[in-house]
Amino acid sequence: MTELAQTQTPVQGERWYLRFNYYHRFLHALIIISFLGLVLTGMPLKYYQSGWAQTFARYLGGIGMAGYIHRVCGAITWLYFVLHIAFAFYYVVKLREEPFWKWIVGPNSMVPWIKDVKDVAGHILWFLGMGERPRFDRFTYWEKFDYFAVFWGVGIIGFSGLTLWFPEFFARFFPGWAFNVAIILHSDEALLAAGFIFTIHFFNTHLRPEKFPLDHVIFTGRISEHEFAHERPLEYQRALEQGRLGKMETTPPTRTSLIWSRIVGTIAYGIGLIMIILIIYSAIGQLH
Amino acid sequence: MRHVLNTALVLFLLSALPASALTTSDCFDCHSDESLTKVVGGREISLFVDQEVYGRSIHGDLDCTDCHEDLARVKDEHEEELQSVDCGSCHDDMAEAVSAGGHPAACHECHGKHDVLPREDSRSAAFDLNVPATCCACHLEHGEPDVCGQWERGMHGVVLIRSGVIFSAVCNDCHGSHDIRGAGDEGSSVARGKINDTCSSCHRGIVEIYNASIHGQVFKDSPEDAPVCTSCHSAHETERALDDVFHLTVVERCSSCHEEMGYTFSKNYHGQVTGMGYTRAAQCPDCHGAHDILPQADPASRVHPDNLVATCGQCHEGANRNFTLYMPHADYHDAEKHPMLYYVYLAMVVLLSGVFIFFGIHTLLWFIRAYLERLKETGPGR
Repeated sequence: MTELAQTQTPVQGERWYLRFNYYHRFLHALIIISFLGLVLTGMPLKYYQSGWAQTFARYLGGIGMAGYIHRVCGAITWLYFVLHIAFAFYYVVKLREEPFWKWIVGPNSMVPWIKDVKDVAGHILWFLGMGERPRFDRFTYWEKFDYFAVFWGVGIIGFSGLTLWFPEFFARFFPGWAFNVAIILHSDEALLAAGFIFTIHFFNTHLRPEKFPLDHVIFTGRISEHEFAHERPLEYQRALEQGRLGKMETTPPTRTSLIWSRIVGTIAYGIGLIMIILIIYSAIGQLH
Repeated sequence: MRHVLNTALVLFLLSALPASALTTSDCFDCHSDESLTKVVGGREISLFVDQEVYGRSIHGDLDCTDCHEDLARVKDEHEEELQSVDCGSCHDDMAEAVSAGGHPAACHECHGKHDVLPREDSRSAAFDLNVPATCCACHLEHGEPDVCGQWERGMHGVVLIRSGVIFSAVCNDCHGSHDIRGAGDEGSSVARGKINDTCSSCHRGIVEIYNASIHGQVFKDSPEDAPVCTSCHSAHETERALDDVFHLTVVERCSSCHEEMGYTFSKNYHGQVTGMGYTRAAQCPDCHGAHDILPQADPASRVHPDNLVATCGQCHEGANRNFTLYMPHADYHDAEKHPMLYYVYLAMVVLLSGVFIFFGIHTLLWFIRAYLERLKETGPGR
């Protein structure tokens, strides 16, 4: 057993800590379901001139049905967006575990700060063999990017999607050419989202050699002590110093939860990989 | 000796009769024999004529020699080769029309021979319901486009065959009965210059609307530059405009002239979902009209700014003036026509390229580093 392999598989006697509670995991599950649904039903329309798109639509029960599924998944997207805002509000305003300003600059914040800029540079230097690996805190810079990519993505894609869903209503406030703009934004931002999630997010979070084949923390919510100390040393240290570590300790992930993580992860990889190949295939075809 | 006497007797009896032409019953003496044949070009053909069928035919009261005129001069046995029957000796106007038009079929190929019936008779080969089969007996064989199959699938064929509607258009309703000419012949009823009039003989109301449209106006001055009925509806495979297949192919039809409009349509939402087989989306006629198409500048046009609220409102209930500012034919690649859309698009391209280039390199470098680290830990010597 190598040092790294140990981080992913429960070892007898190892301590485990809770990183994501049920609420976090539930929202991520909603993201997976709705996002895959949106990509599967949306991309065929973007690349409708490709044969695969027609086949997709046929198996989905026609483009009308695809449009219906797309709207249901869009509604789920808005649901998790609102649920998340509610959580953030609860955390910042109601719970008040830390001073208000820490909501922006503290280690529990998702907002990129000076340390993140330093971490980007430090990480790249480490890639190039020109320095030590940066010591990351609770949320790394690429995780913050992922977070804001979704946040921004839901804002842009979600709102433009709503205007296209109810054009008669939104035409009370916007001129009709706004729908032309909305289509460009919706479609290209969706391409960015799908392209990013299915390649960069999958690699950064799951497929890189330290995590391969899957980081189950978002499914089981649990992180091993070794991985915690290695991947997020600053948070680990702080929790240790503040005596919070004991409170964070939890049971090891069960075998069933690990198997389910693998199954869900594999399905998502599979869909993502297929979609990426099809998108690239169509995008190259459209260059002519 | 006896033989000679017999012959003399026969000659005597014959000479006692007045010399006369063959009568119809003389003909049937031989031609009632079902086994009577002759060989023409190595092929055995029947010479049998069914007297009963002949009697029921429209010509049943005529004598054989009325048509087989060369037999009128024959007293006894006739030559093996007869002259062709000339129907034109009675039906001169029809025969003239056929030869003027140049249709190569002989009368009997369409009307039959001894079984000729008036075209009102449902057993006649020229009866409306039977015309397609009559024409297709030749036109299926001649290696031309499958006009018969197309007609059958088309609205005219469906209405006639499936619904039994006798006044549906069959071949001769458009092509004429006797003066049949190719569509390339200017005098043909299906020539480009005349087809609208031909369709108008049934679809009168439509052609009048068409004549007032921009297509009809252009047609008046230069028929070559305007679409005629068949340009959009095709000649034989005339789909019903309400059918899915028409909805899904109408864009292609309009685009055969309005190429640019077809392209920009395909780049926008209506075109995309239409391309996915969604018939309920707007296709060309839903906004521009069908037979009453007018240019946008014409106040009566469906796409004139003053009429757009109503036009869009057909599908988009509650559409207001704002709504009609949507550009269904926008091309965001066109910086000159749509600068704003173009720059929004450009900004998206920059955003996407930036993100993918940065994170692409980031990911690649990370992978290499992580792999090297892993090798260090698991590599040889450990």
